[in-house]
Amino acid sequence: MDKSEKLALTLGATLLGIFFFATLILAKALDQDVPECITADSIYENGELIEIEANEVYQVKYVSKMWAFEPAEITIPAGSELDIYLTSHDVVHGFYVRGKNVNMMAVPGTLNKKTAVFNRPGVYPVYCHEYCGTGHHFMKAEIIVTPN
Amino acid sequence: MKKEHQSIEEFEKEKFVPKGAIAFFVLMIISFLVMWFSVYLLILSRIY
Repeated sequence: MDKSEKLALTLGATLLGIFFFATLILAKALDQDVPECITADSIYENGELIEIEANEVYQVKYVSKMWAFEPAEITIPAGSELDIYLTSHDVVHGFYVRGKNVNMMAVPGTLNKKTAVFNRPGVYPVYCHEYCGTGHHFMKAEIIVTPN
Repeated sequence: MKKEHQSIEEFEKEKFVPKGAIAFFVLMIISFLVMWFSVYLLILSRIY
C-alpha cells in the first residue's frame, strides 16, 4: 500500500472513531437519544400536564390536531424534567421545541416520547414543522419555565 | 540531437507529490470537522 494511501485511511478511520465515541457520549452519558415510539393499547383523548414530583418531574400529554396543540400552554418550574408524550388526532404533524433537543413527529394512532430538562427560565415556543394544511403556520404552543 | 520525450525510467525517477490532491483532502477533512462539530456542539448547548 502506498504511504499516502495508508495515511489517508488511518486519518479516515481515526475520525470515524472520534465521531462514533462523541455520538456514544451524547446518547448514553448525556442521555440524548432519539425519541421513543411507545406501544400503547389505547391512546389518550385529551392533552394535559401531570405533576409526578413537585418541582422535579412533570409529564405532559400533547394532542396535536388541525391546527393547534393541546395543551397550548404549560408552566413548569426551572430545573424540572419533562416527559413529553405526543400523538395526533387527524394528520401527521411535527413537534419542535425551540432551544431544546426535542424534535418529533405526531402520527395518528401512535405515541412518541422524549424527555428534556428545562434549567433555564423563559418561554420555549413549540412549532409544527410538518405541513399539515392551510392553518399550519398558526399551529404553535408554549412551554413556560418559571424561575424557582 | 535534442531529446523530445522523457523515457519511462526517467519519468519514474522524478519524485511526484500530488500537492493539489493533498490540499483538497486536508480542506475536505477540516470542513467535515467544522460541519460535524458545529452540529454536535449545538446539540450539547441545548441539553440544559
